[in-house]
Formats: sequence, structure tokens, C-alpha cells
Amino acid sequence: MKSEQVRGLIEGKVPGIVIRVPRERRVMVHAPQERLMEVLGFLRDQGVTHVSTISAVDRMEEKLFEVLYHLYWENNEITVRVEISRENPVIPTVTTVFPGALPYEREVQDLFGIRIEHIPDPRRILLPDDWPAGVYPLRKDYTVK
Amino acid sequence: MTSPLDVALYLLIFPGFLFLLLFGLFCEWLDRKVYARMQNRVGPPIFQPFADLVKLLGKEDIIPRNVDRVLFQYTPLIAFAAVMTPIFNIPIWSVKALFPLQGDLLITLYLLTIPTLALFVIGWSSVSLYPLVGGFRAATMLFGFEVPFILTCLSAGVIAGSWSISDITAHLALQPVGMLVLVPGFIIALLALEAKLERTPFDIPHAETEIVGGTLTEYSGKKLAVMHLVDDIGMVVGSSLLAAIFLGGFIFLDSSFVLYGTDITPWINFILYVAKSLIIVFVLTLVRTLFARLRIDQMLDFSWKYLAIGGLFQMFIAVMYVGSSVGGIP
Amino acid sequence: MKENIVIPVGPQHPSFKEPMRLDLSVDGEKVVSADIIVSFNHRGVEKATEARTYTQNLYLIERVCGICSHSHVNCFCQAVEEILGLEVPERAQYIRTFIGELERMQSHLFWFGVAGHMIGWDTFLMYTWKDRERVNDMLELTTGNRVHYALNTVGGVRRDIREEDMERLKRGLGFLEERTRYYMHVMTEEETFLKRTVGLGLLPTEMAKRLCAVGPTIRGSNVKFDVRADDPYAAYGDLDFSVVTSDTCDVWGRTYVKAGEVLQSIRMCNQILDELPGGEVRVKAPSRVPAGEAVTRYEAPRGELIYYVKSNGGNTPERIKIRSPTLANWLVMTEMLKGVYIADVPIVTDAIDPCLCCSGRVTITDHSRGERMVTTLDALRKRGMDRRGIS
Repeated sequence: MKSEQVRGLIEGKVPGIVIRVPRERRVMVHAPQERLMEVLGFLRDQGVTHVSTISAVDRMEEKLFEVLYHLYWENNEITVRVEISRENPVIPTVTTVFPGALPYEREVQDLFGIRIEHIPDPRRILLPDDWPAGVYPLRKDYTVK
Repeated sequence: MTSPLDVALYLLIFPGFLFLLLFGLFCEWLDRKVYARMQNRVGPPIFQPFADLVKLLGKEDIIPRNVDRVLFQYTPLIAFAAVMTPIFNIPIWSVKALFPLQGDLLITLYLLTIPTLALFVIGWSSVSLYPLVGGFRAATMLFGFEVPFILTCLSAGVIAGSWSISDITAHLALQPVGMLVLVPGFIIALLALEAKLERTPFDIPHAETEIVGGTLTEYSGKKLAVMHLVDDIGMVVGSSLLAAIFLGGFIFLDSSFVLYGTDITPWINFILYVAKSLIIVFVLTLVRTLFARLRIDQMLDFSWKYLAIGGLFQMFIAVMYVGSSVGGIP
Repeated sequence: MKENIVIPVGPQHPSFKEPMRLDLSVDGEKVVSADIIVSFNHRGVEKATEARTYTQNLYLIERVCGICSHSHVNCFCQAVEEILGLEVPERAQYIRTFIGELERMQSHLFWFGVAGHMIGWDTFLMYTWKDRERVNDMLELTTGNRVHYALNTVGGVRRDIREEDMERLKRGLGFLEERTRYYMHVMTEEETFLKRTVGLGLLPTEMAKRLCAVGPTIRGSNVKFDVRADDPYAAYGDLDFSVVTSDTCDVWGRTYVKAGEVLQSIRMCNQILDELPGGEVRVKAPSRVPAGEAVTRYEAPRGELIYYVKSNGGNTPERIKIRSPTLANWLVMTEMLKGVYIADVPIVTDAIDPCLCCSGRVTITDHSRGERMVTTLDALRKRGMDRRGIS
């Protein structure tokens, strides 16, 4: 499917979303935080099943975290981006919509300290068991001395 | 009656301890060398098994805290003694073994079961998880290969009309046709021996990739060295047994060859004995190279479906042969 | 209530090439459920990339994985080139693809050997690894290295394939094709091999898709999911190849897919050598990467590899997110182990071709001394040297 077709399919279906097509086979969707589940649910209903991964970016100066959900569908990599507060980073689990997202949610929670609500398995995934709580290595204020 | 000095010589030198040790190490080398060459590798030099033995004997011998000390420490010696003893009942340089007894075939079969039972006891007394599972597997395998092994060996006894290995060899020397009748039994006994020695495709009890070291995981130093020797000598004695009862006809009766007044038949027979044993070791190695390891349930399946049935078939044709005009005891 | 025995497998275990812990809940000889704990090998690569320039990152990222190093660098370079808007010359793309396919072949042959060892068949291991040496020889001929080829750079490749090497490369490919057809024959006919792979580690198609599996794992469950065909990059748009799948959904299927892929790789390599376009092998890349972001995907030997690179215009990247294929296959590994005999655990675990050094990356902590201090590589190195009395 051409990326423009994908854009046409999603455009306007959920209020507040902004779609950008930087090149062929890449669609970037910017969604407001409260619309995240709606967007993902809509995509799932279209037939999307594959979550490639979930990235997070620490925008410390702007006091935001960016969370990006990279999904693959019909030759396109669709990235859904939301911005959440850095002071109190909470986001709902998407495993109800995409069960395969679990390892990536655990990774984001472990390394960034973004709390994922109702995550089916809240254990650490990459950090050792005796890693101090409250220390999140991938945040910008954590430096390796 | 043989003098005590003679007995000591027999027990310690030939065909006892020293001979078994050297022949065992040699067979281990042959096995590893042939295995390697068939895999396109170079393989170890001839003194490698000896070097491995010496190295193990010099290593620290660790006894874990919670094991049953007596069983843990002394079972290897029992297995060692059990596996060496049958050589005195197996004909080496003549149709008669050194100390033939009526029923020594049965005694040998019992003695050769002891190493497997020892592995189970070792696994049990080691307390830790991997040897335990290994020990259970060793005991489970026993239910698979023991019946075919016994059936086929006893078939040879049926043909000879005796439970003595020496009598079987003598009978086959006089009536070599018997060996043809025993061919299916031979093949089955070879596979059963492969399982008894815990070699691929039946090396389930010490499958490294699954249960670390298997039964012998907790062993080190001298005890491990003894158990390795049990393996090697088991291979020698097992091959010798099969050589005596299935290839027994390839032997010369006493005084067949006399050179300058000396009866050199024992030497000729000894060479034949070594050749027969080495051929069997070679076949065992071939099987080891060609196949992947079976799972325990697959092994039991195979044993009962093919080996045991085959053993019964062998027994059947042995009885028929004896009852027919061709067979019969001279 | 019957209590199942829990057998911990690992983190040190002869069947694992890397530390990993499987907690197997067993009933007799069958696995009831499995829990996988990785992360013993965490290294902190993503964090480390933020402190290095793009050029320095080329070297770091190459070392994320030994056996799929080219995949990682390639994916990274593609991302940076996309942000820069840089057009890489065609010849460079072809060379990148050639090395990528050789890497795939070498990785799959490696896996055959490991799989053989897992089922107690060392002969298979010896044979396949000997043939793998041929691939390594070809890689050494073209790049100068057997592992970590140091071939890629932003803007192209650093070495060219010489005319005089073509003959040897073609002969190598011919030899490998013959050997791979032989292995294909062996894996379809050899009884003991079939007994240990057919019907094991079942992964139904729907479950594979739902749990987002990738690579030969999902292709062995009859799903045509291959980044080279779906989302072409480098020279794949020009090459003829088929995506190999198997409908058996078991370990055997995954083996078959890998063997088929080696044959397809040989086909592609031959085509590349025949149709290699002329021209430059690299273009000069600007020293500064403007602000921007890119999502790139690559079909590594183990499956889909995805990079998200974000630049803020500075000389070090803002964020590099790496998701290696093995992490994507963890969830399905737990599912595949259910109902499996203990004896089959190594081969089922190995069927996803785990490459854990790719999956777990975090900072070094010295917890053998009960200390939660975070230390640098330099400090650790110094401490190691002190212990050995080296100054």
C-alpha cells in the first residue's frame, strides 16, 4: 500500500491527530496523549498486528517524554507519537490492543521510568535485579561518570 | 590348580587390570580418532586418553556437602570391579576362557548390568538436580536395552546348548554355520551395547546440552577418572563378549598351528581376538558419528518396537535351528 | 494440588552461548510453563551512543553483535543518510547487500552447527562449520575481516570489490550452493534429525502474528514477513529472490527456512556479482547532521532489525533506539516451550536463534561485590589490571 493511501485511511478518523509522510513507506502520526488508545484501536481494526518496537525520547528541557509506537502494516512503518509529562509520566498499556508490545513496554518502564498502567508483567526486563529503584539510565539527567 | 602367583599375574597384568587398562585406552583413542576423521577433523594423538587419565587423577576431588558419602565415594570402585571381572570368562587366546564356568554367560550379563545401576546410584547419591535426572534416565534406559541384549546373547547359548561363553565359542568354531543364524542377534546386540555404553544416539543420561554433566556432574578427580575407565573397559569387555559369542567361529582350535615345536595358536587367536574387538569398536564409532541423539521416550519406543521384537525373533530362529537337522550339538 | 518441579536452566549452562535464565516449570519430563530472564549481559550501548559522535558510533554499533554486525551498521548508516538526505551510490548499495547476504549465510551455517550440537549430532556441527569457513574466507577477501567488517560508513562503503577477486568469490558461491543443497537433503531425509525437530516448538500462525514474532521464526510459521521484500532497502529492490516460508510451524520449519534462505542468498550474491554497477563507492558526508529523525528497518539474519535515530543538530545523536530481532521473539519463545520435553528445550530455545548481546543493553554495575556503584569501562579495566598485578 502506498503511504499516501495509508494517510488517507487514517486522516480525520480520530480528532487532533497530525499526519506526516517523510518518505515512501513511512507514516508519522502525532496524536494527543488522550487519543492514543483510540488511534491504536483504530489501526488494529484496520488489520495492524505487528509492533516493531516502542521508542522513548527524553526531552528534559521541555519537561516532556516522547513515546513512539512503531507499527508495521502493508509495507509501511507507521509511527504513532505521543508526548507525556516528564514530572508524572504515566501511559496506559497497549497490550490489550497489541499483545506483542509487552517486552517493549517493560523496556521503556525499566529504562525511562515511564509508568505503564495495567501492564500485565511489571518486572524489570533489562536492568539487573539489584539495580537501585528510581534510577533510570536512559534519562538525560543520568550520566555515566 | 593355578598357583597364587599365576592368579596375581592374571588379575593384575594379563588379561586383567593392566591389559584392560591399555586396551581400553587404545579403544578410546581409536573411537575418538575415527570419529574425528569422519568429521573432517584431525583427532587426538594416541597417548591422549592416557594423558587425560593422568590429568584427572591429579585433579582436586570435591565431595559436595549433602551427598551420601559412602555411596558417592565407593560406587565407582564397585562398578570398576564389576566391569573388569567378565574378562576372565571370555575366550581370548583359545576357545577356552581363563576360568570358564558353567553359566558364566549369565554371570557376565549380570556383571555388565552393574555399571548402569551404579550410574543410577551415583545420580541418586549426588543429591543435586542434574545427576538425579541423569541417574533416572540411566535406569529408564535399562528397561529399553537390557531385554534385547539378554535375548540375543542367550540365543547364542541356545544354539550352543550351554550357558558358558567358552562352550559357545567352541561350538561355533566347530560349526561356523551357527554364526549366520546369529546375524540378526549380532546387529541387535551391537545397538543394545551402544545404549549400554551410553553413546549417541543413546547418550541420553549425559546429554551435555540438556543436563550439564548428567549423572557424573558432581564427580571430579579420581572418581571421575575411575568412571571414565569404567566406560572404556566396558567398551572393551562388551566388544570382547560380542566377539566371543557372535564372531566366535573365527578362531582356531588348540594346536592348529605349530611352529618349530611351539604351539603358536594362542598368538594367532589373540590377534584374531583383537581384530574382532576392534571391528566391533569401529562399528560402534560409526553409529556414534552418523546419528543425532534420541529422546528417552523415542529410545524406549525404538528398543521395544524393534530391538526387543528382533531379539524374540532371533531366539525363535535359534530354537528352530537347534531343533532342525542342520543344528544340534556335536 | 500437584506441585510442579521448577528447573532453573542457566545463567551458566552448556547449551547457552550467552547467559540467560529459563525457569522451567516441569511435570515429569514435560515443560508446563517457562519464564525467561535475560539481561545478564547488559552493556549500555544506547546510552553510550549519546556520548559519541556519529563516526565514533559506527564503531560502537558494529560491536552490538558479532554475528550480525553488518546489519546494525547498515541500518544505522541508512538512518543517518536519510536524515542527511544523502544519496548513496548504487555500487555501494550493491556491495552493502553482498556483504549483508554473506553475513546471513555465515550466520545460518553457524546456526545449523549449533542446532546439530543441541540434538547431540556433532558430525553435523563439524561439517557445517567447515563450510562456513568458506564464507568467512570470502568475507575476509572482500573486507579484510572475518567478523566486524568495518566496511560501512555514512555515505557508502570504505572498500571496493576488486575485479581479480570475482573469480574466487564465484567459485566460493558455487561450492556453498552444492554443500547447502546437501544439507537440505540431509535435513529432509535423516531420520534421527527429523525425530528431534519435527512437531517441536509449535507456533501457530495466528499466535506468531499476534505476538509480533520476526525473521525465520515467523516465516517458519507460514507468514511472508521479510523486510527485504516488504520494505526494500539497499539493492534489494533490483534483486530476484523469493521469501522462503514453511507451513509446518515447528523447529523443522525454521530449519528449512534457514536453509532455503542460504540458497536464496547465494542466488542474490551471484546476481550482484554479475550486475555490479560501476561508479563510486562512497560520497562525502557533511560533518554536521541536521535536526531530524529517521526510522530504518533491516532484515538481519534473525529477523527485523529496527533503528530510530533522532538528531538535534549537535555532533552527538539525541537518541538512538535499537530493537534487535531476538527481543521480538522472546514472547513466542515462552509459548513454544509449553508442552515440550526437557530434552527438547535446548533445540526449541535455539530455534529462534537467540542473540542476546543484541537484545540486552545497559550500564555496567558491579554486583558481585554487592555495590551499586556505576563505573566506567576505564575504571573496570584498571581494576582488572590491578588484580592481575599489571600496571
